[in-house]
Amino acid sequence: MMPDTPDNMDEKLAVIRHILLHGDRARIEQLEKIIQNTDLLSEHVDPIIDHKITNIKGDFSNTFGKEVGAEFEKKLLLSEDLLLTVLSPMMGKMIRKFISIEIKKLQDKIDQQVKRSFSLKRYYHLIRAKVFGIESSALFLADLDDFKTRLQDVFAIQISGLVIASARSEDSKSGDGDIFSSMLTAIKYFGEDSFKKKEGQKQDLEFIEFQNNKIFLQNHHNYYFAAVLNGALNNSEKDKLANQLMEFADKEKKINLPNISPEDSAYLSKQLKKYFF
Amino acid sequence: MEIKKKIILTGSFGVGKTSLFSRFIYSEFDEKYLTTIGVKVDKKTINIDDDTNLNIMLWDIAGEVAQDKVPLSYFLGTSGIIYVFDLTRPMTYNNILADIEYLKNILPEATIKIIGNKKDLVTTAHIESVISGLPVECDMTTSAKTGENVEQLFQSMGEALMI
Repeated sequence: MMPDTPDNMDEKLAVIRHILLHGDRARIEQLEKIIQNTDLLSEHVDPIIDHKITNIKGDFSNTFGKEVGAEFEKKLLLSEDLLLTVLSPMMGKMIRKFISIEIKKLQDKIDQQVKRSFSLKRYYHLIRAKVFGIESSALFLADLDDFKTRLQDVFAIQISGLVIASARSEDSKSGDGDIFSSMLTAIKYFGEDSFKKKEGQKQDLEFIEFQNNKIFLQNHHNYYFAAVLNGALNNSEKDKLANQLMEFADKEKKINLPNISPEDSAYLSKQLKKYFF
Repeated sequence: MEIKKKIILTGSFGVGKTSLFSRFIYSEFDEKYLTTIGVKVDKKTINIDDDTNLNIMLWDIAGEVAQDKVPLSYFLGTSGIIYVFDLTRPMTYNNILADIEYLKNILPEATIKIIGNKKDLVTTAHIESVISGLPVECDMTTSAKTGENVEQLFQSMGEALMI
């Protein structure tokens, strides 16, 4: 028998290690193969993850509800002012637009109802409507002050954009009449040029709508009228306004002059005020 | 007596029409170049004499390389035209004769002033050389940046419109 030296001791230990750890090494190699191969790893791990996800989905509110709720509430409180600032004008506009559309629908329904019914009320409204030259639906709505159509300004504007005459109501918000008229004229020409189909084929801009504000335009040979209105405007009111403007143009011939003197302008403005306000 | 007249600022792009407009109306000058889209309108009153004030409605029109590209409707009823070119850029006055003839043709009654702008960027010799080479007479040279001759330009236009 050979004496044990450090060298042969190592060899012996290596043999023993090999015998004892052979099984474990094989298993480790197999595990390494699984870990390094995505497909093999997925086979083992996916069912566990799927099971966990299913559990979380089924019980999300119990597991995380409190934390998420608290965090959301915190964020919401922090941005309350910002949210209100952003949402309020949009909501206001939407509500105004909605009311305006609903009022138009209501007026149309009332018209239909009035046409269908044969009551004394109907004849009463018809007579009133005839006498005052307005739609019967407008009479039904006349008491609802908030939904009345309000005429804010009337301008007679030369094709140059210069104001011939103007009149405004006390609550008008149109700003400087000269700049308004010139810019409106520029916008009108821009629109008309944009939609011109062929050279010489002119199309007139007739109506502009900004939320609850409207600009009704009536074109004449060398000038046009611009009526600024606020509120819901139905077709009968539009027709009535168009007729009034035509009547004014017929009555006040000075408006057709190519060169309006300051005196003529002042006179026509006075007449517009008298006629429309 | 208050009289209203429409005056148009026109010319190629980047010649300083909006800068002249801002200098005259607001007494301001901005180094930044922002191209005009469509038209910008403002007004200013010029005192002609003790009894007469002229309200100028000034239309600053988006620049075009040639005047026949400007929508014709913008010129309707215009009493005065200020045609601006850039003293530093020949491409803004190379077409000046055709442009002025076109404007005279569509608005025979209108007063036209031809203006060389950005005089602060060039020498007197350069200005003289540019003006002498033009096929039309240049009425005035201005600088919207320093304000030189801007008030005089609109005052002389106002007075010409009252004749």
